[in-house]
Parts: sequence; structure tokens; C-alpha cells
Amino acid sequence: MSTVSTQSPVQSPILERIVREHRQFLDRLNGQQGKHLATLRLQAMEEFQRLGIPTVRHEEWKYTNLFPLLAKNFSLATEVDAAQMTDTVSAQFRHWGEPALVVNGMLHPPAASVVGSLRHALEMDQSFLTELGKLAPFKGDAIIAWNTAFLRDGAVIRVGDGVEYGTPIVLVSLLDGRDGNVVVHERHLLQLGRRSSLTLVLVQRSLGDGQVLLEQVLEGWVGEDSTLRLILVQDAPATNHAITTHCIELERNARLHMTTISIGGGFIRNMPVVRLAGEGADAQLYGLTIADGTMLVDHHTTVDHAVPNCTSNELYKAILDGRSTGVFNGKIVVRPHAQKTSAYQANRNIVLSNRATINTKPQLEIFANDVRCTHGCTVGRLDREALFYLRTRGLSTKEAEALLLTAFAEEITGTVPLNVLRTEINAQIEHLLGADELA
Amino acid sequence: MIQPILEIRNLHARVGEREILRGVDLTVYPGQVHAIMGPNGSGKSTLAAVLAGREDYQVTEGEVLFDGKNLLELSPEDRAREGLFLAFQYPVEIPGVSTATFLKTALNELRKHRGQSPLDAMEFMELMRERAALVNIDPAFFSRSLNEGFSGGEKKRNEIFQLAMLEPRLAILDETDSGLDIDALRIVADGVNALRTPDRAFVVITHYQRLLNYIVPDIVHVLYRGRIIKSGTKELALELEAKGYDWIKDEAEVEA
Ligand SMILES: Nc1ncnc2c1ncn2[C@@H]1O[C@H](COP(=O)(O)OP(=O)(O)O)[C@@H](O)[C@H]1O
Ligand SMILES: [Mg+2]
Repeated sequence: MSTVSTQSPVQSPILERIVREHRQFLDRLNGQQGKHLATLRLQAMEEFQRLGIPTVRHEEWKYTNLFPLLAKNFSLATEVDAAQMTDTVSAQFRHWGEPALVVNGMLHPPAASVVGSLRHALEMDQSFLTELGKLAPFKGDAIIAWNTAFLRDGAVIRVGDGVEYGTPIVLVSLLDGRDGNVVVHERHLLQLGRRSSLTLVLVQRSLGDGQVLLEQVLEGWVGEDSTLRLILVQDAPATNHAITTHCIELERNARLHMTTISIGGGFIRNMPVVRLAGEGADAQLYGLTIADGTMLVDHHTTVDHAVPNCTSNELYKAILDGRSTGVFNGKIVVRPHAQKTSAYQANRNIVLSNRATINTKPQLEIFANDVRCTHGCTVGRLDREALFYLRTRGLSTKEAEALLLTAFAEEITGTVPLNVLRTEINAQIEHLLGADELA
Repeated sequence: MIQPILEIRNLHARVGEREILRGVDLTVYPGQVHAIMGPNGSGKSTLAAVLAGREDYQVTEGEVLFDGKNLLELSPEDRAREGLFLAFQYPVEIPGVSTATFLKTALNELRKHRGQSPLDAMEFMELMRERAALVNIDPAFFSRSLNEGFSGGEKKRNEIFQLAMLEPRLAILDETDSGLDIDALRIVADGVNALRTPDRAFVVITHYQRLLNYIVPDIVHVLYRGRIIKSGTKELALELEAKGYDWIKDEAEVEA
């Protein structure tokens, strides 16, 4: 194993802690889950140490400093007896769809569903390991390396050819913060066959007052003519933090429709990586941030047009108040052969406070010549003319602001393809923005 | 004696260093319709904006009484709640906010101020339908974003529709006729006429005499370089239409 001596002094204690916990983690596992997986974990740890925890000198982490977060000294969450709580927690999400609980990283699969646990899948069939990391390779990526080093369980969701899975799957990440600060690593696999469809909701909840960090990696394949609707609901209290890496590959004529609603939590970094790998594939990514206090929300998207004739569209919006920070980094890659690509990207931000910060950066890497690609970003305050107009009709400044902000946000919540969930999110947002008190 | 709704005395207002209103006097009584005419750039919209409470303008001199109250110390929303309404020359497009949502909030805010209970959804819809009919507005508009993608004529009709909904004491119409064809102009004028009552007053700002054939004013004023330089009966508007503004400008220059 390599040493940590190349790392900067600030990060070595944190890195050392992680290395120590990794050793304990492997000891606890005591060779369970087989040799292949053990090797994978060791290799990933080696890579993690080689890369080090990304600092703000790292181009991809320029605006988002991980260190204040990791200084919270998260310890690796251990398995908890979840038997009593699964029912009560699941009950809170049953009206959205079919809940599947992941408690401290361990899946509690519901009976009769397309959801199974990764640990069982690996027990049954070690060759399954070859699937892991295909879309999320740990080489060169510290976060994925970290995830892989601690890989243990998660959900495996498989939808067969021709199956339109009607009920949304709600994957609830429950993190136990009752005995202090914990970090949880989750690894999920998703496979949609041909002509199939699925709606998947990802949501995070915690127990207790401790700070909890969810580090989640999902690898998803969407087969020919299939549709994946992915909804990421980040609305937990400020003690909840998340680093998510969602790698999705789209085959011919496959569609991804993804909405990320980040309206609660402390530190959030989302890294959707979408690869359009079959002609005619289409990816729609929408995101909404509403942040106040010291919340940080970083949407770091990658849309990779690997073949011709694909379309992608991204619209991310943010409302920032207090001392919050918003980051949008939208990378679009168009490979040399990916002619007739259409790629759109827009980032719109409203900054309500002088102390809030927004960093927005398009990152276009276009190697084909017959491409339609547009991007744009705006950062501003609320439209003064609109505010004045509304006030001349008798609305207070507060009401006028609430109305305008709600309208701004609802352009994104309107993309949530699930009525009950959309209504609930809108109600939460109206409350956050003070629009629920409108006459 | 009847109290005026609006009393403007020696009103001066500026933007930055630039004085735009330079001593405006105007008194409006309940039931009256006043027309304010004048060449472009005279300060007509500025006067309307100052009355509505736009913060870009700084009042340096003079006073404005609205129903006897000091208007200038009220916020724009309080002016509206007291019964002032401005139909904008350029109504603002507000994406994502439906006309219905917006008007319900506005109307219930005014009702609260008047000590009335809020309208429920049914009563509100009923009222919207009734008032929309006044200016030929299709109820399909209620759910569309406020003014977004509306044609010029639709925006102006929407302003009068709002006026009909909010029932102000004093309505200021800033060039509501501009950009309207003759049919649309008729619709707007008929709407306004239907809303005339003995205790409501109108200040109609217009560039053209045409509108005043339909909304017949009691008094016509000419605003020029930030001052009312001439007032008269509706015949003054006809005279301006025939002779243009130059003779009045010359008169004003001689007096100045
Ligand atoms: N906000 C402003 N900033 C700078 N100049 C202004 C502003 N508003 C009005 N003006 C100027 O004041 C004058 C009067 O404008 P306005 O009131 O719009 O005239 P009218 O409505 O009679 O055409 C014009 O010369 C205009 O350019
Ligand atoms: Mg004007």
C-alpha cells in the first residue's frame, strides 16, 4: 500500500482516519463476501490513497471544499438492527410508490419486487462483480474509489425486456445518526432491458441528531427504447449531507428524465454522469436548489454524447439566500463521431442575499463539427419591474417575492413525473418561500 | 362640499440629476374623467409612476393628497389598497404566475384592507368570469402566465380586466389605447365606461384624441416638459388633434 506522505498536511489526518477505518472494516468483514470483492476493495483503497481527498486545487472541486465537511469526523456506519423501523419508515413513503429501505447502507428489500440486494447478488454470482465499476470506474476518481473501497451492499434493480414497471420504486437511504456522526457508502445497480420503463425515487432520511453523510454511487443501464425516470429528493434537515455519483448509460432510443430537488440538507454534491451510447438516445436533466443558511449545493453534471443523433437538455435553477452556496458545473462532451448532436444547457440563479454565492461554469468539450449546442446562465435578483407591478396591485413585497420565487421554482418541480410527489414538493417549497401564507 | 379624490400640488420629481416633473397641479373629483395629453417625453408616464409609487423617482417638492391622505408616504401596495390603480403603458410579463393566482392574492389583499372576508374559490371564479366578459377576455386566459406571450391588445385588455376586478377609487390609464386597433379600442373604452361610477374617477393618459371619442373626458390637460400648460374641455383634445402640439408649445415658451 502506498503511503500518505504525498498528501497535504491538512488532509492527512482525515485520510489516515479513513485508512484506519478501512482496515477495521475489512477485519469486521473477515473475508466474507469472497476474495474477488476483497481484492477490489483493496485496489480501490490504494487508488483512493494515491489520489487523495480532492482539494479546491483540483479543477473539479474548485468551488466545493470537502474538508470542512470531512472535518466533522464521520465514522463508518455499522449495521443496525432495522427490523422494527423498516415498517414505520416505509409507511411514510408508500404513497409515492414501493419503498425499499437502505439502512446504514444495507438494503432491506421488500418482498415481491424488482429490487434485490447487491450483497445477495454477489453471494449468488461472483461474476456479477464484472458489472461493478463498468460505468463508475474507480481509476482516477477519488469519490468512486472511496465508495468502492467500502463497497458492501446496495440495491440491484432489474427490469426485464418489455416490462413497464408501473409503481415507482422509492429507495430510502436511512442513516443512523443516534450515536454521533456517521458516513454511509451505498452502491446501487440498475438494469433496464429493452422497451421497458421505470420510475425511481431516491430520498434520504436520518435518525437522531448526529451529522450523517451519504456517499452514494449508482450505475444504471437503460436498454434500447426504454425510459428511466429518476427523481432525487434532497429535502432532509441540515444535519444530512450527500455526495452522489449517478452514472447512467443510454442505449439506442433510450430516455432519461431526471429531476433533482435539493431544498434541504447541509452539504450536497451531485454528480450525474450520463452517457448517450446509442443513437436516438435522449437525456433530460432538471435541477432545483433552494438554499439558505450555510447550505451548499453543487450540481456537477456530465453529459457525454458518444454517438451521433442524440439529444440532451439540462435546466438547473437555484434560489440562494443567507450565506448559502450554489454551484453548477455542466460538462458536455461531444465525441468526434457524434455528429447531429443537440445539447442544451441552462442555469438560472436568483440570489436573494449579499452573502450568498453562486458559481456557475459550462464546460464544453466538443470534438464533432455538426453539432447544435447552446448553453447559458443567468445570475440575478428578482425582477424589479415584476415586483413593482405586483405591488401596485396590492401585494406586499413579501407576497410578491413569494409568488415570483414559487413560479421560478415550479418550472422545475413541474418536471417531476409523479403527481403526489410533485404536490408534496410544491407544498414544501411554498412553505420555504412563504407562499403558503398568501391570501 | 365634495372632497377631491386626488389633489396634486406643485409636484416636482426627478431621476438622478434630471428633473422630469416641474410643478404639476391637478385636482380630480369623484365621478370625473380627466385626460392628460402631451407629446412624447413630456412626463406623462413619470407622473403616473410617481403616483403609483415607483421608487426610481425622487419627489423633491410638492404634495399629493389621495382622499385627503398623504399619498407620497405610502408604499405602492398601500396606495393600491387605498384604491389607486395604474394600468401600465407596458404591462410586465410574469412567467409562471397565472392571472388567477395573482388576482386572487391581490383581490383578497384589498378585501382584507377593506375589512371584507376573502372570497372563496367559487365566488372568485364567478367574479372573474363576470368581469372578464366586460373586456371580452376568454376564461382560458385565467390559467395562463400573466401577460406572457399576450399580444399588445391582450395585455391592455388584461389591465382593464384587473381594474374591473380590483374596483379602485381612482384609475390611471397610461396610454391604454396605444397599439390597439379600432375594435380593441372600442372594447377597452366600453369596459372603462361600464366601470364609471359617481364615486370613481379616471385619469386617462393618451397621446391621441381618438380614445377620447369613446371615453369622453370632463377635462383635458396638456402636459409639456413636466408641467400642465393648458387645461380645457374635450374640445381642446380636438383642437390638438387638428393643429398638433406646436401652437401650445409656443404659447408655453412665451409664458415661460
Ligand atoms: N427612469 C428614468 N430614467 C431616466 N430618464 C427617464 C426615466 N423615466 C423617464 N425619463 C425621461 O423623462 C422624460 C419623460 O418621460 P415619460 O414620463 O416616459 O414621458 P411620456 O410618458 O410623456 O412620454 C423622458 O425624456 C424620459 O427619457
Ligand atoms: Mg408614456
